[in-house]
Amino acid sequence: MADKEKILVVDDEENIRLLYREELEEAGYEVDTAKDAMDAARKIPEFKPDLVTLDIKMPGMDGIEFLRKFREKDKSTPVVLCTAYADYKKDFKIWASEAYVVKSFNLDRLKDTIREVLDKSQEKREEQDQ
Amino acid sequence: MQNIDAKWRTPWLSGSEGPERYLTNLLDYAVDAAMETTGSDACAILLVDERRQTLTLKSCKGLHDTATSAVRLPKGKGASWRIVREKKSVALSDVTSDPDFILIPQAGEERYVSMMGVPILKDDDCIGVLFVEDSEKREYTHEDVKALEHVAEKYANSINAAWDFERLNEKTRSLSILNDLNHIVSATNNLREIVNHLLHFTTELTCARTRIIWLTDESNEVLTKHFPESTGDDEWMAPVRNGIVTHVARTHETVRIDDIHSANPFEGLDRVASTSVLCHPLVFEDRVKGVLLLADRVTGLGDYCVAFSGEEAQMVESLSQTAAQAISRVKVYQKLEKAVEDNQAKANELSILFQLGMAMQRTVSMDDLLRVILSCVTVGKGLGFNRAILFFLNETDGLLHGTMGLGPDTGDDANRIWSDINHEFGEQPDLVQWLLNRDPYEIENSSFNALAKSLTIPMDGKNIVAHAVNTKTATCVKNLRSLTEQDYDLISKLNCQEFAVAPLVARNMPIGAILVDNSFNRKPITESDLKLLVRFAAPAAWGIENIKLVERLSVVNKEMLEIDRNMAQIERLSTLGEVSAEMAHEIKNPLVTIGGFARRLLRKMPSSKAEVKYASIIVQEVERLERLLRNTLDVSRMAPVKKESADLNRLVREALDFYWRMLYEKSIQANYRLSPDLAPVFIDQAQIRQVVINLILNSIEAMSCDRHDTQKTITIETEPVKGDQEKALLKISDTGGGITELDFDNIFNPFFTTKPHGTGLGLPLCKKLIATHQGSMKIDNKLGVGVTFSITLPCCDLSKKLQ
Repeated sequence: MADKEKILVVDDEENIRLLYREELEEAGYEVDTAKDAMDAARKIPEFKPDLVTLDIKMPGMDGIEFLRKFREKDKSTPVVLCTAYADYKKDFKIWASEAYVVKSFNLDRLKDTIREVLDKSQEKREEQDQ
Repeated sequence: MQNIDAKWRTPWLSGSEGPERYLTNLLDYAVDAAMETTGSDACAILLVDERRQTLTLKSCKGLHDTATSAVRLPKGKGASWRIVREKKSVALSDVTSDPDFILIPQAGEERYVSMMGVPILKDDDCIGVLFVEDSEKREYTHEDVKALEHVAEKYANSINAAWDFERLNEKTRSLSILNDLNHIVSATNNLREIVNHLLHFTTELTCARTRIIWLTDESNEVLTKHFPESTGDDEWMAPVRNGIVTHVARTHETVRIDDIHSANPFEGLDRVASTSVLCHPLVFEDRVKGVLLLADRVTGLGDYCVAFSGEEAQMVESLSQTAAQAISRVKVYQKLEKAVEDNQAKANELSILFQLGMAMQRTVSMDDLLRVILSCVTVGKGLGFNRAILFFLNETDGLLHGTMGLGPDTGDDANRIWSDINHEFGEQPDLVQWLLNRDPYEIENSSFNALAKSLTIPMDGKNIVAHAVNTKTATCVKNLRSLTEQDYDLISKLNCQEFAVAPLVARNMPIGAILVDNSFNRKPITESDLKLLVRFAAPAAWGIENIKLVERLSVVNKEMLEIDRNMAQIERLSTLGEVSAEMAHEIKNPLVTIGGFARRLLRKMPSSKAEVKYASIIVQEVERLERLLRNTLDVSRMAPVKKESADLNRLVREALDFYWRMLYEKSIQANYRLSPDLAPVFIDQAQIRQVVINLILNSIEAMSCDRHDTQKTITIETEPVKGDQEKALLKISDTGGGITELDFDNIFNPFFTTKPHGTGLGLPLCKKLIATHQGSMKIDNKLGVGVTFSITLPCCDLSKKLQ
């Protein structure tokens, strides 16, 4: 594998950011974190992540609002929404994200989802390249 | 002649007696004078009455004293009338030689053989006859006749004056009799008494042998009863009534017949009269109150019948007027009296109905109401029947069921109760209070009540009670011959002679009947008793219907309360859900951090270290907390239900398969009893799977303790439930020993749990999910054995799906 795939973790809680970074780095990704929407907006152009994990409930601009703005500029970078609630699925605004994961201390499900999304995104890119 | 004149002066010159004796004295003088003048053995004076119908013997000597006034000769009879008619004297040496001569044996005339009679003339009018008689045969000379004529002439004026005076006196007497009648009949309101007085006074005034009065009936038209009854039965009198009496009643005119054999336009009159008739209407204010018929004016001693005089007719008219007025007054009085009685009865009825209403208003239970109704029917101050039974119609079995009976068990019992009641009323005159305060146990335990309750009457059968209810009409059973077998059965059970039934009708529908009898005092049930019972039955039925409504209402109310409680629980669940969702979110993130790093620790640490165990505990605890949070969020934020047709059997099997390892590890035996006939259910599969899994977990956890020596078994059954809408029944049973009573009351309360790792949200969630499926969930808890959860779920309604 050449370059490591890059993941930006957006979460307002520092400990969560640390947990995600360690778990995802261990899983072989290059990880950067942002503590809120503004921070993420600043870091994305520089870091150019292959995938963004986005906490929905954040102080200031929440995850869904950030997703909407982000999609205006970037239509391809996949976003995985993380939340404590299971019923955000009902909200059509999250359709703009590639996946939706209910937060759990067991990150296996998150990691599986990230892998799936990245693979799909890779396929898509290859299709577009052809 | 001179001698006579000198000797026989007119008596009033020397007479010292009162005017009432005047005529008698005068006639006695004349008789003496005639006898002395003629030297005859006997003498008599007869006077003509006002109507010139009768000659009455007014004074005599040598004849029986009793003959005076008693001998009356009807017009035309005998030699005397010839003298009156011809105004010529008669002298007979042998009376038998004159065919007109009639001997009056009652007067003692048979002793005499010769007779001389002269007219007593007043202004060419003959007012009487003067006779002398001799027992030895005597040839009367012309002088003898002249002498007698002289005597007659001498006294004629005086006699005429005295005779007028006496008749005047007679009239006065009649008037006073009339006055007496007036007084007497005014003093009574008894019709029979008035009639009797009238008959009596008629006798006083006239000498009619027969006196009959007919009275008109209420409508003042038809002549009904006649008095006195001894004059003959109605059939015998019918021709008389239909003839002259009806004629008089119709025309308001008096009919006077002197001799029915010479002139009589009315048939059948000979049944009551032999000669004369005087028939007079009793008219008051132009209405006929009756008819008075007098027949056969007797002359007294001679027993001859003569015609009625004009004076008598006048008297009778006055008498009739008085009588008619009295009769009319009595009838008005009787009407008034009846009206007053009716009014009193009505007022009494109203008062009873009012008091019943008051008492009914204060009862809220059916038993109380029935007791009040039956008490009101049986108490003397109420309807006063001896016994009463209420029947209610049961629509389902088509029978009238005896529901309550009130009445004494024996005659002694009756006397005791009635005296008790009288005693009670002495202290407590209020019927309403008394009705409400009756001892329910005494009624409840009476053998009559037991008898009443044992009675059933088929509505489609032939019997009086069913007929009354079916036709909604009250009946009184008096004629035992018209009864059917079912009636006899009832009567023999009740042991009564007659009874009455009134239907209980509410909203135009029969709801039952009330049966009454007077088996103890044997008082006949009258028409008005029955009427009152009917009037009473209406508000009673209304009251019963009301109580029924109230009872139904209270059932509905209870159901509403139940629903309300459930709603409150659901609401509490929702609010709790809201709060816990907030909390869950706040807890979730730190939990992720704790659990996440604990897992990392677990992974990074060499497995030999003791700390691995600690990290593992942290992971387990976080796992539990996360489950709690997930359940909490599930309860509060339920996803919309997505129902579809599903195979419940398969769903159950899959759910249980999910736990096969756990079952195996805990040595729990799983039994299926799944019905192959189960129709597909219409459910949200994810939700119902959740329910089934929760319940299976519950059962597994209940059997997790090793203290049970018995085989741990979980049994899952399904079976179809037939009904209006087909349902599927799912039963999950365990052998976990059941739930204690205290815990059982709480199992549906959120956050209640008995398990070391429970969340307390499992069962409330299940209940909520089943409820959203219009299903039901029941728990059969057998302490010491286990618990069975029974869930019903609606099957797919194919007909609905096709629409």
